[in-house]
Amino acid sequence: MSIGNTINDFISARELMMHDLHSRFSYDEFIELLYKDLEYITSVMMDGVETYIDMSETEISRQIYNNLKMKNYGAELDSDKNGNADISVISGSYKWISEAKIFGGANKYGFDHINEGFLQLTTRYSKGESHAYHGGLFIYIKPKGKNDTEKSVMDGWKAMIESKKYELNNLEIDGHHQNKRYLTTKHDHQVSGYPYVVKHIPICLLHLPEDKSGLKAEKYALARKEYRNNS
Amino acid sequence: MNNIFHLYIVKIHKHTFGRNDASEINYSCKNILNEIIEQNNLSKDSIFNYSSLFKKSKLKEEDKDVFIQSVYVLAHINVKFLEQRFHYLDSAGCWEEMDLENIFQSYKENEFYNPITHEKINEKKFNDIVLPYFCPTEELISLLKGVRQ
Repeated sequence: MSIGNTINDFISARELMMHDLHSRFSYDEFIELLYKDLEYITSVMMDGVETYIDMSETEISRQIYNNLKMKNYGAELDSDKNGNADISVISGSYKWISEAKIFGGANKYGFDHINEGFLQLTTRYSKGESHAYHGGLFIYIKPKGKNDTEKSVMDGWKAMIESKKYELNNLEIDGHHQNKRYLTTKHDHQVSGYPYVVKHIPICLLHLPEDKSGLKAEKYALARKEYRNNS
Repeated sequence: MNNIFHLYIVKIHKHTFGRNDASEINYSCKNILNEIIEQNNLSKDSIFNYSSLFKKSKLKEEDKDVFIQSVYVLAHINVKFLEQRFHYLDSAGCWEEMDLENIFQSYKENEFYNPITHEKINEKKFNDIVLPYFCPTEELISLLKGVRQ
């Protein structure tokens, strides 16, 4: 039996090899690749958005966790809410943690719920250590009505963070736009006093097709009625 | 020796927990682990390439993807059983070690040079010249040394 010895001989070898190298050089390299992968993972999730609409925060986070595991990350999931961040990734001494919150949905969660996630991430779970100064906040948007688009929710959330500039020392915001959907904030961590960077990642879960067959389909009827009533 | 084997098995299982292909990867890792730990003359200079590791994995050729995944599980910094390095055959026919940071930058910038002629080449050609290989980690060697003394 013969098997090659080059990167060319295995479909996944290049990606796996680069993941190995990224975690060896610097924390910033590790974070850069992690966000590149998360961008890919969330974009694939958007392709199958129908699957995630009825899922809970934990169930949606589990999908992200599973995808990170398949990419050979040292990912951990806290499904029991037992005092840990929702998804964390540990690679030797490098650490990244994240919280996930739903906006909208059956419980009609608003910005206070997102803010609770931001506070858990920045004041409860993170300690701002030297190789752990990046964190993520997943915002699973389940639009209640026409006014809740990914953009409007992120605009509203950005305004709420801006209103906290006196509580968040040295707050800097890098806003979202057409080609970069996430929002990045940086402020002095309350434990370390050094900057802590949060990437706020929206995943908008709406699937109400308006074509003929979509309008006829029974499975969308209830959700469409509710969506229209709230619009 | 058993303790060392179990230490790494625990690390591997923790690392692969939650993967759809965990049982296949664990099987391959276990076989590679077993063969390497039992090797009498194992040292920091021992070298394993993809094909020698594949033989140890006891997988079939159609399981190439499971195999490559298991190699990088063993090399993951949270498992620390193998360490990835790179080398090429120089004009005198001797293996020359490549600097890891150079390798990393080449792939990151998508810019590749022939390490012998220094001419610009494409990635496929670079991959044919510069080959990855794996060594036991210092942690593994030090654990084995402790048991053998």
